[in-house]
Amino acid sequence: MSSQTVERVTVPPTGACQGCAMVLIARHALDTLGRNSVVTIPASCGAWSGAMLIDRGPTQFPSAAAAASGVAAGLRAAGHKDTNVVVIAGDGGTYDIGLQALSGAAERGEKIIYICQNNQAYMNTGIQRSGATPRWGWTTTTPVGSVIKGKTVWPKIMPEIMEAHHIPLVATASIHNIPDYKRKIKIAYELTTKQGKGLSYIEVLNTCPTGWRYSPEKMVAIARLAVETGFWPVYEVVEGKFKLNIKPKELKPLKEFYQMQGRLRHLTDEQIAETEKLIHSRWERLLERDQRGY
Amino acid sequence: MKMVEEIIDFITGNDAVAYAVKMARVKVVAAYPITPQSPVTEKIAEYINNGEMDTEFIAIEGEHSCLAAMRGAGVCGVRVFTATCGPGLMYAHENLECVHRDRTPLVIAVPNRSYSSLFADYTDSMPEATTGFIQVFVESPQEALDTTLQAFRVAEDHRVLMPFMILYDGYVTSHTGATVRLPSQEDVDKFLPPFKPYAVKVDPSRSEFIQWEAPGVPIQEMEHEQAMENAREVIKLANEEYAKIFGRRYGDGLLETYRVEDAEAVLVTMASMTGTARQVIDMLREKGEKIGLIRLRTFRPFPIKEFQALQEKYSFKAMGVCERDVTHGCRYGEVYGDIKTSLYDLDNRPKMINFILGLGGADIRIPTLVTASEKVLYTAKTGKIEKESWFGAEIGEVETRLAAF
Repeated sequence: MSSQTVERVTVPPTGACQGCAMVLIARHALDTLGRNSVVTIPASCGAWSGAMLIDRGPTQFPSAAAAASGVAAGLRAAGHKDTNVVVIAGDGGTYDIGLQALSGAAERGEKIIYICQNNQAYMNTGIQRSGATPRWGWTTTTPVGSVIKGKTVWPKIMPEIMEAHHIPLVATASIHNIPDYKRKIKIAYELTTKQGKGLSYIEVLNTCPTGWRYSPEKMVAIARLAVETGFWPVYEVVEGKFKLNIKPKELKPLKEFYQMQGRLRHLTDEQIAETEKLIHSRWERLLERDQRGY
Repeated sequence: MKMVEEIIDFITGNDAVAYAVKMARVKVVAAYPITPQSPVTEKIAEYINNGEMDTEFIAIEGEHSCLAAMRGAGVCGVRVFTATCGPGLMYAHENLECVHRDRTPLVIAVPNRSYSSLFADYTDSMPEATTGFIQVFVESPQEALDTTLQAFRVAEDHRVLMPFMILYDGYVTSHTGATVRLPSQEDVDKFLPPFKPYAVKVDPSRSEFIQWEAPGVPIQEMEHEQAMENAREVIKLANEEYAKIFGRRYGDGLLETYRVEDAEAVLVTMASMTGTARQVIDMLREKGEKIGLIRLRTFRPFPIKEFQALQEKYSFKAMGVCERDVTHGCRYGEVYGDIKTSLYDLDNRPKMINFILGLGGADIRIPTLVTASEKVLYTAKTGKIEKESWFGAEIGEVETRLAAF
């Protein structure tokens, strides 16, 4: 790892939308890990993250974690023992079509640093709903119609699914707190690449002006609000030890966060209240875990 | 010439392939269980766990992922192998399609399995006829072993650099024991030197970053076709070089002929049905019928010129193509179509009949092949064709089912 030498791996310009958080997610992960890395990016907005001065592993949409498993094995067989094998996938490539490959790789203890940049829909293909889209949220496949308004079911809680794989690191992060995110990347480097303990999973909420329907300059504000309302809790599970990293004294009303976004503005007060109830009960659970430490 | 005497053992086609993979010093193997392929990878896992093979083994969670992992390992510039078949091969299709685009010389063993039963037909591998894989159909466990060794040499040749599929009939060849000569490590090393990649796409030890520029798709596809063109010669060469050391040769590597001299009618066969067909040819020859046999060994690249040369040399009047696959909507199989296309421009092209046999793993038995041969002989003698394509069921083939199913 060469974070001390500040050696850029990612190079501007990018092809991303204005105000896209994915660019920050990819840049800070790879610049932190340094040049001794190979990155695999399946079909996702990550494909627009611009030039990178490291080799890319090839993959199709469903198989990023499997392709990276192959790269890891190939590198070991070729004599490269300390190279970071990184995946940067979207929520579609993680929650939905890539879930099997990811679950397999995690179970096999593959030495992969897997970063999910979650923008809660298939933004790269035109804002279709995914397993990460919030309930009642608008997407092009869950339109707000006169009969059915938005997505009718809850999203998955992917980090908890990953926790069930007994991997050394599961963490969430937010782009409004880059130092926290980079610290987690360094933990992943230590546990996965250096100590070879298995797959590290870091999921970052990728605020998306295009799909969420907000003005690009609000990127960081929206990300912060997602955390302050409890919508996106930022925590880590390092070798079984749990820590809630950002703990607002009191959660802000969810409505504040929802009203900033065109995709969620149509929700009724009852729908917001029901969502808030779920978010708060999860928050209580996370606070308990934080106190318990596991 | 061989330096060490070969050990003679009684093993299955699957075990023969696994032995060859060990001898080839493969570096990364990924695999997912599927009948009747599983014994190949079980054997490899056994070799690895007993310290007989120094190989990264990825016991992966599905064939789609398996081929993805093989791509990933392949771009690191190491020798890679996998095996799958039937529904597994179909599931892997998306990533199979990608392997040749990477120019990864992956070798994949496929004990053919029908998409509609556990038993052999070519409905699993035929959809891959256009993916840019070299496809070689082998007849016996011995040939499976020999061809696996040749496969690495052909696929890794810098004039080729295309993936290689070894096809053998599920159960009939994969699970049936036969006497197999096992070459020594010393002799295999002589035939198959360590893998020298043309270019290593993923290499973190490079001091400077290289931006790989692939040509556009139309140019890429043209280059792949050139590579397949080259593969024809390289397969022939590997077949000869192998014969020099081990004394075993399979026709010219592309086609193998049997009693074609003075033949007016000829059967074209593939893989294990050939053994039965040879018996039928012998029986009919004894009766004075002028009939011979061509075994299609290399299906991709297709031996276009070689078929033309045989036709020009022997002037067959009628040709009967036996195959375990059908292109629905055409009422003929892939091989029939390809041979017909190859011979169309010749002035003395033969009349052609297609026999679609052994679907779902139905046994291809002597009476069926006798009936087929008689139809080809009738056409050779009269110039008339009763029907252009026959399904096995129309010429007395009986579906064989195991009691357990």
